[in-house]
Amino acid sequence: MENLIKDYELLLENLRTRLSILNTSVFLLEETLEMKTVRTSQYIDRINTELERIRELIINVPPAMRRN
Amino acid sequence: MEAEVKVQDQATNHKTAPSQYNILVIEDEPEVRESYVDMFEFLGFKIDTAENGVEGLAKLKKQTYQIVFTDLNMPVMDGLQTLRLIKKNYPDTEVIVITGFATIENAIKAMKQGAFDYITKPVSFEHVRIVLNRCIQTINAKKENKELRSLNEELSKLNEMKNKFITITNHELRTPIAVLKGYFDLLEMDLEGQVGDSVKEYLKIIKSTIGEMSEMVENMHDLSILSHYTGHLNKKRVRINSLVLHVFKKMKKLYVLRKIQLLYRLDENDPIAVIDPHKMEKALTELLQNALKYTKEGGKVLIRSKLDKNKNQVFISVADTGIGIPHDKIGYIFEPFYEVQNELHHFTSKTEFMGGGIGVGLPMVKEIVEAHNGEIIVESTPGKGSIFTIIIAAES
Repeated sequence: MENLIKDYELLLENLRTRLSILNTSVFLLEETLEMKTVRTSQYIDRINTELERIRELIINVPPAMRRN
Repeated sequence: MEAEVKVQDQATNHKTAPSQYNILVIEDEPEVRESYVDMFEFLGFKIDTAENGVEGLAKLKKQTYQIVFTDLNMPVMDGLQTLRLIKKNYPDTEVIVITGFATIENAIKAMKQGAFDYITKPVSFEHVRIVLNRCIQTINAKKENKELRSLNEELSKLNEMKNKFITITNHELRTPIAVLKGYFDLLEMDLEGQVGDSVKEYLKIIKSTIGEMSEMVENMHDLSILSHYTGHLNKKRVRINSLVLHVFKKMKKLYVLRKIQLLYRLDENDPIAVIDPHKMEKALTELLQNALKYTKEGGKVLIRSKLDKNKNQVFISVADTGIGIPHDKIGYIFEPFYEVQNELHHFTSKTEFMGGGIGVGLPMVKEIVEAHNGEIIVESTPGKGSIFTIIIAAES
């Protein structure tokens, strides 16, 4: 069990790294786009919404669930 | 004073001092009662007295006493009756009975009814001291056991909560990642053919990162499921050759795409094993994906089944002509989140296939094989390739 928790914490750490890469890349993508249609903006908004949802899931680990 | 120090020394082994223990003495004769009070106070205990069983029980109702000394022959309520009621209502209180030689049979009866020990009259100071020390040790041991039990229960509850949390969160992560991937695909299609190199680069990074996240969560899900359910394998009689052929056909396309030759060789005895076909298929698929990941274009991968009739074992092996594993790293490859080669060594594109993994594939294979009471062995020569062999019992 302890190993599983450890693995899970490592997974969260890896996911956090990827999430920050995604946040940065989506931000830069949006900034670099010369022309944005309404549809493009909608897609980017939805992507950001999902990124935020993932962020909340990864960040909000209740203290009782942490190993230390 | 010397006596007190001795008691404290022994009691110190249990990190307690005599003053922490309340003793109740139930004795009908005032002079004897007084002598007990002097003796216990001399030893450093907190002491209270009662004239008979009824008064003693009334005091126990108001206050906690760790130890009760009671005479057996008393008016109003005798010692045995007092003992029964104390053990019934205050099981944690230890009772030591005091008896004359004439009533030694009663003392033994008292022991059978839960008394900690008995002391015979005339009371010897040394005997009382020894019995008291043993009693304190027992009380402390019981207390520690109780604390440990409660700690164990708490830990077990916490583990259960953590387990539940992992399963739920893991499941919950899959949905937003899938939605994210869906919107990204739409965005990519929307922007197709009308963007510059930088945007293309960002799109490429986003796509590969989403792929990695998705793979991590999927693999973790498999791993956590396996940890929970390896005991619940859905075993049946399986023709190993059919299973190998099935996995071969499933993976063939990916190999063609990467221009790697995938071959198979089946044992002519058509071995049978009692296994969970879905889990074993997953293990074999992982091995073929692993081989694909670390084999160069133009390379070869061979999956084969072999029956060892003498040992009654089936060997399923996956041999590749890939980069191999350094000898000092072989011991780590079955550990979760450990990847021997960094992603530069993956020959697959990060965006097209499963490159950039997080190293839970092989641990998963090991979990599956061990759940079948089998074994997985790996032989590898750096620069030449690796052979992973699963060994499981064949049906006799």
